[in-house]
Amino acid sequence: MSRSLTIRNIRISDPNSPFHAQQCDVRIEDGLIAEISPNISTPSDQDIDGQSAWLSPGWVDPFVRIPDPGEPWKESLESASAAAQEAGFTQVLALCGRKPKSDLPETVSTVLERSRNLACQILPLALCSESGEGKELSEMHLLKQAGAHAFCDGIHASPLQSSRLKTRQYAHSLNLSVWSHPCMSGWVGEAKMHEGNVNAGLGLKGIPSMAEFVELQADLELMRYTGAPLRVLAISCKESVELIRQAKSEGLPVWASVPLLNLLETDSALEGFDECFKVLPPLRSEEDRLALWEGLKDGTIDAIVSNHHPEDIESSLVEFDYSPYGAATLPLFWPALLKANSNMDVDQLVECLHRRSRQFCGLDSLSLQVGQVAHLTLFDAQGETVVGFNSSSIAANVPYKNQAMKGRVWGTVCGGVWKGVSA
Amino acid sequence: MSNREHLNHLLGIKGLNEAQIQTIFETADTFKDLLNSQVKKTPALRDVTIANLFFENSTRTRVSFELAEKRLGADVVNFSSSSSSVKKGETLIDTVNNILSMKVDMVVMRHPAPGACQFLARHVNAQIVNAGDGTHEHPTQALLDAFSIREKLGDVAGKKVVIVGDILHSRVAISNIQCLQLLGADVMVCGPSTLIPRNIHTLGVRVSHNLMEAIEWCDVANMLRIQLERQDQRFFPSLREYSSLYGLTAKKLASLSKEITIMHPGPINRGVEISSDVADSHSSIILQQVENGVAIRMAVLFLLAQHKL
Repeated sequence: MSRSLTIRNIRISDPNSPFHAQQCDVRIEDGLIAEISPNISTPSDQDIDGQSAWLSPGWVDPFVRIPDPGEPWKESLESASAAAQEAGFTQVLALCGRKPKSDLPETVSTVLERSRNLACQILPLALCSESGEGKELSEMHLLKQAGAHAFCDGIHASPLQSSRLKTRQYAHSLNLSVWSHPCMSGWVGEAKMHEGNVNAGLGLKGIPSMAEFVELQADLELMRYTGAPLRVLAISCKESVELIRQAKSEGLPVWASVPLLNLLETDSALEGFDECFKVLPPLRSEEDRLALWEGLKDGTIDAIVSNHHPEDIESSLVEFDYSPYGAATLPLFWPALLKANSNMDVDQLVECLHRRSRQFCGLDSLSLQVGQVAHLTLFDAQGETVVGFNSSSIAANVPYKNQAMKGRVWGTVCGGVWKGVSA
Repeated sequence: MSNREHLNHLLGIKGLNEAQIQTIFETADTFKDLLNSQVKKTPALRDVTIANLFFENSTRTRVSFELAEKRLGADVVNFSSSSSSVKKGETLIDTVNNILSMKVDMVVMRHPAPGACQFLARHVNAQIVNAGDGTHEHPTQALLDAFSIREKLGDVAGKKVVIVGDILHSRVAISNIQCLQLLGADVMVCGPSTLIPRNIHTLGVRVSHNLMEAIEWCDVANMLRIQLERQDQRFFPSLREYSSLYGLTAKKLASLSKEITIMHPGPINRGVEISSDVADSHSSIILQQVENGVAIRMAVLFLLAQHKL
């Protein structure tokens, strides 16, 4: 059945669109953008007043963890998708499942089946090794057939170089994309935070930046050896930024992303032993944080990941040592990103969330032009969001909970369907 | 001191200022006099109930706190568990709230997890005293160490203190560094590089890997125990080799042109970090440290309970 929607009185944020920075109305029909003009008179089934908010192509989050199937009380596919939609995302790439994990094609099929009609589309990632332990290959071909978009390894994997090589070779021969997470647990050991100026005073062993950039160097060598393009999830230190910058300058097929919290906070955030900031990769120094912003601004870093890693109150409300790594960051994503931003204008920043994020993920490009698929995000930079208030996320480990921040997501259009976000 | 809020907890040396430490010392002076008198007790905390929660093995710190509490007239309840509350299936918060519901006013806690006292202070309604949280802080040990230096040398300010040994796994070292610096001492850490946190210099300390160099520099050497129980891997080849490099012996002390004060937070591994003749020598104030521990802990508990810190 044909269904139409017009969003009126918005400012377009899409440098690739001829309507960029213009005040327009946008009409959507059958899931496609049908018309963009300053004043659309064609009637629609649904009219939305954009109230001068900004409209961009739909945002994509390249990395979210959802512990469903297995532990849906921590975050279900439904609550994660709703929280992602409220954060402005129309698509998220998600590593789903704790028990079973996404090393089984059946898990991936289940995720796709259950998330078919959710407000934010879930594109499943799958594990490239059995149980994500980094030892034996998973059934990557069957996982791809089941709907896996790309592959990565488990948070605690620390594969031998020979296993990494085998994984990249096998995946590349099948034209499958394995994403690297270079901060490996073999380096982490008992350490809980960045090795820098803060950990010594807290009595916590540190994870040196070397734990990441040495592995990234190895990844780059594996790329040169296998010819497989490299997508690096979640870099956190200045040395990694420089390595990616150098690789890109050589014309190598490399993409990189940075987690939201690493753009926002440093290891000082852990001085009160706040478990919400115990994340992997760890929050590093101010110098690293600024280097990440520079990398994002000059295009060395392509995308920003929420690195959303939900946990329940029982897992989170324990001593720092015993709390799991990870923070539930979807409920604060957009306002926290604005708060952290110091060197990019909002249009540039938002491009990281759509065009550059789609490139990182290997998704077809989308722009705000007639004939394009209507995945859209309506947002502003002035409105107020109270973190966690009215959020659909059921996670307990939300940083800045109940803090008011500037920046509001008004709603999204996913596949032509509008869903508003209550303030 | 009148324009600020009083401390409700002693979670670490971090958070204290010099004036507060001097207040603790002056109060401890009074209690030390009391302890050396015939009566030894005061009813100052007779309406206060204190729970000693030890989630990690301890002998001297637990006994020292218990004696301090009893000599202040407090009601005391002891809870010891070598396994953490999490491993037992009950959360720390539940464990402590259960005990607090029996009308306990203060909690003295030792716990293997760094930050456990901060965590508890955020989530339960009681005054918390940190008796050692993992590799983070051991504030009363640092206070009694500095108090003992003050007693022996007249003042802490301007003194050179070296802390020797396993700095990486030592809560005593971190608290000592902060406390001594607040009081104006110059602090060095000494040990194999594998047992010294890489960025320890950010705490403003000197770093040496040569014991002779360190003891030639210092006025006071605080010898730490090698904490094999905290080491998940070997950080040096053998105790024999460690002792050869970092063990303090009478021969090494004899080569100095001066006398230095020897300290140790205990328990001592005789023949490893310190030889028996050094531990028992007149330069050693190890037993005075233990004695001062009771006075310092009495002072801390008294000042916190009376909201005078």
